Amino acid sequence: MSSAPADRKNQMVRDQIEAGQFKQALQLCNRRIKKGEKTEYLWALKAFVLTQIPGPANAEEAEQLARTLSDKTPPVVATDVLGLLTRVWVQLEDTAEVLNVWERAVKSQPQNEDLARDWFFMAIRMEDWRGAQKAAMNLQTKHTKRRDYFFWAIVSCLLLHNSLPEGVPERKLFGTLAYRMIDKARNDTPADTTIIPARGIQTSQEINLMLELIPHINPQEADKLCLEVLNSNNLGVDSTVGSGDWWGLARKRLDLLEKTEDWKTLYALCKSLLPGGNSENGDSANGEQSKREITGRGDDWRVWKGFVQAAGKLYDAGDKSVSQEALEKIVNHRKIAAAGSSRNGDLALVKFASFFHDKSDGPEGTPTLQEAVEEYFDRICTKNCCFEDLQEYLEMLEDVEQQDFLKYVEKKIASMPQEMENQTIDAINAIINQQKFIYLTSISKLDTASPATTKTVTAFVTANIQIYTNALQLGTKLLVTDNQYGDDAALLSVMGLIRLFTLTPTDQAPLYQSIVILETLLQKSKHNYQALLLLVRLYLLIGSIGQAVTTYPRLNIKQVQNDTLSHYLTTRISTLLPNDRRVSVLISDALEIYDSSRAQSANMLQLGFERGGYAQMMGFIELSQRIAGSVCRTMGEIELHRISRLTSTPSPEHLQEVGVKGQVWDNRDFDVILNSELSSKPSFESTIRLGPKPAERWALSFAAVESIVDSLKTGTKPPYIDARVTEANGNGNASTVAAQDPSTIITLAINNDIESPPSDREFTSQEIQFLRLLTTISDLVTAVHKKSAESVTSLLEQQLLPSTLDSLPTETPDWSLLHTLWLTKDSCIVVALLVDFLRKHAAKVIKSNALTGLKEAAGKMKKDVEEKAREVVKELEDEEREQKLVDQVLSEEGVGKWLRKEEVWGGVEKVVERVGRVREGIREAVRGVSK
Amino acid sequence: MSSLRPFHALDLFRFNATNLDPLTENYDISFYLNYLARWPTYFCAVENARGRIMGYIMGKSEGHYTNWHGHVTALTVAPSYRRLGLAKMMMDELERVTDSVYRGYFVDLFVRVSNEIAIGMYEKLGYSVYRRVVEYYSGGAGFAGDEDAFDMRKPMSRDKKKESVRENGRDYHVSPEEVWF
Ligand SMILES: CC(C)(COP(=O)(O)OP(=O)(O)OC[C@H]1O[C@@H](n2cnc3c(N)ncnc32)[C@H](O)[C@@H]1OP(=O)(O)O)[C@@H](O)C(=O)NCCC(=O)NCCS
Repeated sequence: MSSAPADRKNQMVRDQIEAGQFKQALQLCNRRIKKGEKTEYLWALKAFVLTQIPGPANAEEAEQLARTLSDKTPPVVATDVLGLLTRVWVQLEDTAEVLNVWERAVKSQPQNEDLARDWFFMAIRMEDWRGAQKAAMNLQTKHTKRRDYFFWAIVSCLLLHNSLPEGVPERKLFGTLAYRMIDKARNDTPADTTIIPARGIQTSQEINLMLELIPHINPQEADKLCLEVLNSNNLGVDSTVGSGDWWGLARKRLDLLEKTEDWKTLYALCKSLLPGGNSENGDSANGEQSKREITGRGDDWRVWKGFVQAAGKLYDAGDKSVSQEALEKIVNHRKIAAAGSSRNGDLALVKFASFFHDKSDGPEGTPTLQEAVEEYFDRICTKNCCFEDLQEYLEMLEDVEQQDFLKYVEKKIASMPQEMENQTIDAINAIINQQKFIYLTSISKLDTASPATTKTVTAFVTANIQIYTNALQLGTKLLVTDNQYGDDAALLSVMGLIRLFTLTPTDQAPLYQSIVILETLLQKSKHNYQALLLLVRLYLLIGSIGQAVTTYPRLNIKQVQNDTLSHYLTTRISTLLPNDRRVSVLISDALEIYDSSRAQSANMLQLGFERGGYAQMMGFIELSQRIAGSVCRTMGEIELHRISRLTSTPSPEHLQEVGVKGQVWDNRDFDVILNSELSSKPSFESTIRLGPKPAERWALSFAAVESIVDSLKTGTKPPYIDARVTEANGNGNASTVAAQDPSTIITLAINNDIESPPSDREFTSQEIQFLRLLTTISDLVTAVHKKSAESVTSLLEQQLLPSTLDSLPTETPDWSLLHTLWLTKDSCIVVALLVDFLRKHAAKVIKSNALTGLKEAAGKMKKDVEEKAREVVKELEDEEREQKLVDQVLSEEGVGKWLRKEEVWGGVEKVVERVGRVREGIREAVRGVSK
Repeated sequence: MSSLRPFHALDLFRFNATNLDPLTENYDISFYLNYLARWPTYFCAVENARGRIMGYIMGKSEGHYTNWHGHVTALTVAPSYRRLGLAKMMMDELERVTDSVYRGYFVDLFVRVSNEIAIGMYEKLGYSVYRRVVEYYSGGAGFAGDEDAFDMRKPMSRDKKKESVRENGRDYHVSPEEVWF
């Protein structure tokens, strides 16, 4: 239909759309229409462009055009036009029309399979599950030869089911439909797989789909039903169809047996799966054993765990013989297992012993937990994971037992040969594990500052520095991409120093020492990401924000990691260093993941269907929803808006509306940082955060702040004013408060925060103060729009800004000082915006000298902030103070003794230089406020 | 302790211990999902008792006739879990799937010629260099310029005469365009 020149012209319009130049795109369309061109595509294009330009007149015209096309007889059948029409109707929020357009098209050409498929994919890509379900049903009834259409129909019924709210009868209907279809497929699948009918189940993906589906449709009986499938001849774990994913299905069966507490079956099954499997029962000749050897993954922790757990549970239930047998099995396995084979069997013994730890009984020959842990250490001590494997069990031991264990470890290490280089490396690994045990059992529990504490921690820190330093000689041949053998010891010493710092935050010397250690480490292990992440945090904590921004790119964080890891740098950064261009670039780059994910997830869903990857679909959808609703996305947007405000640069246009609609997800990864704390204590990472951890409540409140600021700038009446305000229900739930006015959202969030236990709080005290100011401003905006002069006057009588900054502590400037100064500055900016707003919209009600007074107060406070910053910079320039700090860092009593050494650490001069650079970094950041 | 399990889409949020490593590529999301959709049994993770991902392997099947084979696209183990046999365990699984599910003739993979550890490991697992692909890798984190790759292979049981491997493969130089299947 469309000739080449038309193609080119259409492309020109699309280019403009791509560039966000909708007015120009509209002009292009109009010019062509004026010249008499009247293709369906051009009209649809114009309708689409119109939906992109705000304003009711445009929407109306778009609707008219779309309606003309949608009602045409014969109906539109060109896919590209239908595609555009779909987008137009979606923009106009009329999904019924979407369905109508496609249904008419497909009905008019019932044999056109491509068209019918395009409909399906269009719906999938728009995540229009109702449309997808109809389209898939149409495909599978009209084109019966294609078996995949049948499964598409099942999956789309399930997707529609899941998207409907609980309790809606339709939900049940589509669930049942999906289940009936797959159940039929299941019954149609013979155990003999030479001939499976087209609509039987032929792949392990299809089995997995069935298993995915059952819990959605019939949660009460799901476990039982799934086990039935997994045990069945035609589709079970050991069936021919199932063999494609033998281990995946076998794991599922173990999980279900555990969940249903069928310990007998679980035990028997695990026993048969373990290495040596059924041979003890004398049935190795039946071929089962050899099959296991090919397919089997007997020596897998999942199996061992199930085995030990089931034995324990059966013991509790009075079946003691089983545990005796289990113990023998473990012991035998460890006897015959090849040296260097997996450590699963070894750990199984520890787990077994732990089961009887409190009971002080157990089958004959059961080692005490302490013995088992010691034995494990004997075998695994040279591996990095030894600590992690044992931590849980070590924590179960009594204090005395722990001390005995540590003595044992000491002896064992002393007996390790260290003649050859690899023996020395092994010994280093064992020693580092030992240090982690020491941290766990003695350092982690220290929570009050005292000379004794300092002494204990300092001894630990210096011991680890010594280990690190000694290990460096072993690593001369390592590749640049490798880490030095002793790196974890250096990290442990930093953990010790941070402990000193958190106990006495006014003494920053341990922070500087930590930075010196990490910077040195990173010269030798260029890619040690633990050290990099820690260093970024420490620079931030200490206030040398620019150094954090410089170091962060060394982590080379990319793609989805932007969602899980960028928070290490960007949390609250707009209140620390908004004036550094690199910061907004970094955040903007990180935010790109959200756009690209949206674009990609549509393709992925389509691909999943095309390739029959049905079992993955739910995962794909959840992934895309979790990225789209990520709390980090809102956080990033908030940071960008505040940066633009604080630096008087234009606000990010494409991010007009801040905040996620719908469910908020937290995908951040806090676990990558090394942790040797007791499980009852906060993680090490959480002790080096910049204030409480912002999450949903924080994001919601600061998104509300942006909407308030926006209403000040534009002066337009916010929609919530006319809408009825829903009652606060106290749970801070996103969907319930979304309809409320920003002031209520914020107040509710603050109240929730204050009532939460400290570990669940999200706001700094400075943020609470700022947010309170914003609620007053929001109330003022509301009062003005409601023309309530009385409220306006009384609200204005409140003190909006703090009167002075005199009480601000400045002796040890750090992130928190920057945070206060920038937030105060932001308050002043917002108040100034308020004054402008009131001048324009409430001049009649308010005396103009009141406004002038307010504006002056804001201006003065801003100047005070800048003056304060200059004072702090002066103090930071004081050489005597810096010298005193250097002396503390290099103090002979502690780790300073080591840092003075020329070798490895570069000597006193190097330390002076490093400290100086950090100080300059802090000065630079504070100077930023004063400009 | 370690347990092998199928990789799941949501694991993309949790694989940082491996993906922060400089030798491990970070692809865009669709790259991983594409593998999950097409070759789910070739994509596995090993997790520890706390469910943390210690490593993962991602592979595919491709080629025609006697070139039909399994390919290792990514194999990685987090630094703190190395030398525990995890890479070997995942390679065993990939070979099992190639041999018994896909019936491939061989397994192959590309590795940076500078990645001595990985090359040594693959040799120990029975792989040999089939050819050297010139400038297969473009410079990335910590890598100066473009780099050659070794194409390494190991025959599976279906390749009875071991025709998928050759001696002195290091001397066969090819360009990246020649290695697409
Ligand atoms: C290469 C890599 C996957 C190995 O993982 P791993 O789990 O440590 O390997 P395994 O424990 O299974 O090692 C198997 C054998 O390989 C050899 N090997 C592995 N790492 C080695 C090392 N650092 N030095 C010497 N030999 C080594 C050994 O022979 C080892 O057997 P052994 O321990 O019984 O002596 C891991 O180092 C890694 O993730 N590197 C970064 C990513 C990468 O390079 N991937 C490969 C890209 S193609």
